[in-house]
Amino acid sequence: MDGWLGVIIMIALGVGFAAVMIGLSLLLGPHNPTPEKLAPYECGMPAVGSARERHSVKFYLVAMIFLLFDIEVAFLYPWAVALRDLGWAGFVQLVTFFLILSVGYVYVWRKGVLDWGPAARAGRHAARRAA
Amino acid sequence: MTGDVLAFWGLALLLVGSALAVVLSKNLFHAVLWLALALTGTAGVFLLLEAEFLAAIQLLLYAGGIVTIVVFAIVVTERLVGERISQTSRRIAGGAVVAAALLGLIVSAIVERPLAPAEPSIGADLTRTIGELVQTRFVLPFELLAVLMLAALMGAVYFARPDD
Amino acid sequence: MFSSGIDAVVPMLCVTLAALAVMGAEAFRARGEQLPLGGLGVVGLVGAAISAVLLWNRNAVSFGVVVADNFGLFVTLVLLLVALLTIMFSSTVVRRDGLPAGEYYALVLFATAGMIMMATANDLLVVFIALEILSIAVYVLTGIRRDDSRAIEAAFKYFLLGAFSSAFFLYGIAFTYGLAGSTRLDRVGTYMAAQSMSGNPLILVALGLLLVGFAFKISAVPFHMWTPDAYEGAPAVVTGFMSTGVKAAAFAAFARVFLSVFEPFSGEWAPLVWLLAAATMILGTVVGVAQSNLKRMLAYSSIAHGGYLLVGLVAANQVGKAAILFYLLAYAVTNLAAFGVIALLGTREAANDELRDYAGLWHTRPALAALMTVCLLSLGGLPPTAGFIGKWYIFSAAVSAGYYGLAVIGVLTSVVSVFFYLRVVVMMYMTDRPAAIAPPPVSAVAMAALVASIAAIIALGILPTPVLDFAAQSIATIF
Repeated sequence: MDGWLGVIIMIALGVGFAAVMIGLSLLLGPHNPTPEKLAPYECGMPAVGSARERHSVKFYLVAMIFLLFDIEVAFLYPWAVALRDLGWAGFVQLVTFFLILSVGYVYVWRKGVLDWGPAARAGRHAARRAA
Repeated sequence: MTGDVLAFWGLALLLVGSALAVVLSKNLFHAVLWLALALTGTAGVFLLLEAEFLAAIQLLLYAGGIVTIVVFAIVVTERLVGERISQTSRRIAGGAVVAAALLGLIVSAIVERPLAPAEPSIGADLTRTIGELVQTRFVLPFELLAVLMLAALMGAVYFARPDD
Repeated sequence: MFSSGIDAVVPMLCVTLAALAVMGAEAFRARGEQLPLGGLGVVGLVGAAISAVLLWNRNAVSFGVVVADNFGLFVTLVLLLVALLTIMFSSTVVRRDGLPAGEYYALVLFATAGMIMMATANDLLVVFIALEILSIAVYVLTGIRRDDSRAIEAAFKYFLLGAFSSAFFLYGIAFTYGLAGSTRLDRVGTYMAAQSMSGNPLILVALGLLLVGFAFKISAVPFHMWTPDAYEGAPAVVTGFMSTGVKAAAFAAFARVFLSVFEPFSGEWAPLVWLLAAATMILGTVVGVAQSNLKRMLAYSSIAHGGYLLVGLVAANQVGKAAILFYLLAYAVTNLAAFGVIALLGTREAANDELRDYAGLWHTRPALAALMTVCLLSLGGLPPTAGFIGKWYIFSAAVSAGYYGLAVIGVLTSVVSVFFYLRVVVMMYMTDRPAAIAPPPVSAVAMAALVASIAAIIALGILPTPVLDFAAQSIATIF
């Protein structure tokens, strides 16, 4: 556990600061709850809404795709640390890994999962009418 | 009691407590936050074992990524369903009995014949060793992981994609 | 032991490349365009089959974690046959039901790649990742009709319980690694052989957790809860695929881990598997009798068939091991063909999978009724079909290993099961079809697949010796 003292102090400071702030605001702040204030998200989209709006699913999809490529990057780091010992074999293996996942990236892109703005949606509508 | 042992029991308490809170809290959002705490605690266990890389990955992917996804999933589902969802675990007593039995079984087995206490000898840098092992001994599982993630990606996109 | 060649993974590689190609083609497919994606898959499967045949008797090892021994290759060939027949049946169903062809075929191929990997894995870690690949693909396939709430519910149940069982399996792997210091099956096997007298309770914990994980995947009672719902909710072709492919792959890994690595502890696990086998055969049969939905009935029947396979595992003598392989082949072809008929009789609007939908089928679709009859007779274990020979060898293995109790239970449940298979046959022939809705025409490809499976069932029933020799040869190399 050598060398971790700084980290522990940092964590203690962070947690302590947050705890003190929350505690102070509980003690000192006016307490006047309204339904909006009690909602899980005070800002952003309402947590409960019409079931017809499917657009929000995109948030979830993007988060999922992000996580997958995050895992990919996580493997990049130890490879980079051991780069010199692994040589070309390691490089080829890593590129293979990336190539396999890039099929998924192309798939996601072409399927329009990454299309976001109204232009993309209009394009899809036009394509549907044409089909 | 050295600092390590103290830290271990502290983490153990935190882990068990937060894990119990995950299954027992009625509010799903609270459950997710407890889950984040449990996953962070696991990172602490990795740190105690001097596996810094694993601890970082645990924080990045689990406490960061997975928890975010779960939050998104809850928000999206609540919007689709149109009402707040709460945890509806039933038969908690029965589950507790089964879990306690399993725990008792494993603990009694470990107490009777402890696993080798010696730490496996790892070269100077664990991260580097991981990098080497992943690209040599475990290269096939590594490439298979890409296939696994691809299948998972396809499935998730298929289910979540809006109708077109 | 370690060789750097990639020979042993070539069959799996062919299937994976086909899956990637299908996925890529789907990505670049123009809207409304029809691509021969199934054909692309068949190319990959045939390539895999050729490479598997070329690898025969070579015991190729790749990366130290995959071993293409004859046992693994035999199961690989069975799996490739399963995938091929599935794709042939699917060609009709995908078009009829408007399923997403790209995703469908890619997932079938991904699942097949995972199954092959599982059958040839020589490392617990590879077994686990392969298991996850095939499981995730099959979860999605179960709910591939995402507008159908029943299918989605089935997929969700399957996913939750599958994830649960994976956790058990992973926990077992963790303990095994903690004990043996390796996940390689040969190293774990060496450790277990050295520890056989030690009575270390942790070994039993590891063994038990792995056993639970496998039992879930082969849907052995009492870990079968997901099976009827998942099998009923999924499209019939997918049910055929998962009730044969997943079971064959899981059984191959099960046999490899328990008959070689944990062989020194067979005194501990054999009684447990005995109980699982008996419970599985009895429950699958007894509950199956009460079903009015043909798909659900066959779901219970496939649970019962998992029980017969477990009998072969308990009676782990030479006959028993060869019998497992033969039974896997016979069961796979038969069950797949039966679900194929069900799939071909459905329409986009109605699944037509209730028992009463089969009343008088003989009058409207004599060919399909006749083919279904052969499948049901084979499932019931009546001569001259593959099912009869398979059961014969399984039970004689049990008797020669001294497991008279299991053999008696097996024979009795087989007799009971004949009742519910024959009930369907009687309905098809003896009743007039009430208000007959003409089923849709069957494509030539699907019909060819059906006829080929039926021919195989009868051929295996009349001339089983070559395949049995083949199976005996396959197991001789490793166990």
